[in-house]
Amino acid sequence: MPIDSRSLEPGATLHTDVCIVGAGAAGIALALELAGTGVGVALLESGGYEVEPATQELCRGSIAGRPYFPLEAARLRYFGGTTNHWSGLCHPLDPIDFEARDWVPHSGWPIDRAELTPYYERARPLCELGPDPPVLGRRRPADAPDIVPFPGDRLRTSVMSFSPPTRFGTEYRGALERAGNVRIFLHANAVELEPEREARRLRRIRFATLEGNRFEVRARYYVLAVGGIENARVLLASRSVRPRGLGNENDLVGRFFMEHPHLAGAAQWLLTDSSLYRDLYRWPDAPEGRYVDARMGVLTLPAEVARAERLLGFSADLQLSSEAQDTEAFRSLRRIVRDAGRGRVSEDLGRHVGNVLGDLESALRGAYERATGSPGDRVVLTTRSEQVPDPESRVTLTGERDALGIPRAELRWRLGEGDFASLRRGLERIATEVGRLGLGRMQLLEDEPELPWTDRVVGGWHHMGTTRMSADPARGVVDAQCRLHSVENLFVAGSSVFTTSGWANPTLTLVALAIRLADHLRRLLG
Amino acid sequence: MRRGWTRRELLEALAGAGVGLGAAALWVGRPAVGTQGFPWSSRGAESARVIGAAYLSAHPEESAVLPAFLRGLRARPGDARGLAGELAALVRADFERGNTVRLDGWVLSRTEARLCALTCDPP
Repeated sequence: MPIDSRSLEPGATLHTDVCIVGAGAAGIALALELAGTGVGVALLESGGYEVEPATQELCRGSIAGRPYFPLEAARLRYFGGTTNHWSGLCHPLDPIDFEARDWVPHSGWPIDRAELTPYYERARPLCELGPDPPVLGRRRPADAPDIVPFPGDRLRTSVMSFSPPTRFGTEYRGALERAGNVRIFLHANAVELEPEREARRLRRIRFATLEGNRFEVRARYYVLAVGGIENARVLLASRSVRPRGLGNENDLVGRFFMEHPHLAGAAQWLLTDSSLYRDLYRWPDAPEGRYVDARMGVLTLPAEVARAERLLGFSADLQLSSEAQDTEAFRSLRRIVRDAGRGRVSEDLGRHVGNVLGDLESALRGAYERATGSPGDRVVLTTRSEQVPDPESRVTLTGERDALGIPRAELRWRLGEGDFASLRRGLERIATEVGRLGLGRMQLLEDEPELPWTDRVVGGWHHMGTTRMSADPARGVVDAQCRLHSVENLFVAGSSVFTTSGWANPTLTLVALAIRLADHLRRLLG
Repeated sequence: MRRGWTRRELLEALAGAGVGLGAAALWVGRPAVGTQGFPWSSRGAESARVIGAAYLSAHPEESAVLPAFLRGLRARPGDARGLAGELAALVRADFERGNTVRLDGWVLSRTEARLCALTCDPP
């Protein structure tokens, strides 16, 4: 059974082998890998088993620069973490994402894709996925009736898999509770990572509950797994020995924040023949709110094209649409219904409701077309892209403190001209290829009066890069094993360690990295 | 010797070849949605004129090129089907070489943009 930290003896000291802070996808995956071994594990979660407003309020922060979602909406602070509102999309990073590319500043992981391949295979069952689907696009149309015929090497269909989606907290709490070597602590908030005087090793982590109870954990190894924004926040706020925060000797903690810029309606494609469209590209249905062996094809560029044209990675969803379905009213209606199906209230609900009521005819016509399976007359592209790692896109601390006395986080998400230019060239590449193959013509999104198309780009709730991985401590916060360069017994798990973002959703990769970290810790512990 | 192609015949060739955005309008026969898009209608020739006018507005220097372009097309031997095939090949070659233009966001072959321009700029 879990331990409610509010019932612990005040000032208690807990001892364990591995202290994992945060029970999201990374923390739970790590704990599962260590469950049933001889390693003592303490898994500490800020929230409970259900969302609690007072704990969720700890996620509130501020936004500077480019508009972004409220931080308390984009993150969840209870057992299972952000998997509790995860869409389920999974795809591994591509090999090129790990390479040092001279057109992508600050690129180049200290590991390659081959290093992660066996961990992706172990991560797939945790996300309740089937076998890794193939990359398509080199097959002749006669051999691949399930894809749009793109003969040649200029375009590719990558296939994304859908987790049901797995709510890691709900799915795995039983297994963790039953594991004799794992103790789950709820309502435990890390308030200070306290190193020894020389700051080469972590001495303890101090925790507090919102009700004021305080205790500490002492371990042989510690893992920070509280999310892409919170990992940086906790390190920056741990200033008892290092005034700039833990692991921040080179002013890198919090920097290089990366999202996946999403652009809905990036282009529309008039097909020469609507029968060209394949169901593989359609967003799959989720009977009773659960995907079952679901996949979706997306257009991507082969690595050879990305290298030759010096492009960032990106993918394009292809959704068959119609005039009615290509309206804000219908998109808002879909968003409201989809969120309701997942048991949550839409972000920005008022705006969505306004859109629907403002053009009710389009919303209803679009819904009717979807319900009756009416064929669309166009394909609408929505892109998700890689962004250039930018040290000025970052998480910092503000002067405002939360209920625990911890400085709140400020997010300054930045995109540069290189990000937009690469996306535009990638879309032009697709449009040119579509024209060359006689598959139709494409219209790319253009500026509207007082609304540049670049202002339509939004994030995907993917928080990456703020404790990036590098072999060089002058260029990264953690090393190739996700260990802080400057603190030998402190590790970081989650997408904050990503050196570059690729285009693919981060969950599958962060789970794979957590499993790899578990193997490393087991070797260290013997 | 075969006489040169009239503008009407060229448009028919355009449609027959399935070439160009104007031809797309002919096939689809329905309005297209754009941001500040072309005022497309179900009449492909009108669509072609709108596209052609936009092309000439964006590339006024092309007015001087069009007469020679038309003479070149008129001089080609063969029937309408053959010309349609040649036009289609020219369009494919344009996309192959990246010889494209952007009109209201639409990515078109320069050849098809010129063909549309012929509908509103008689040489």
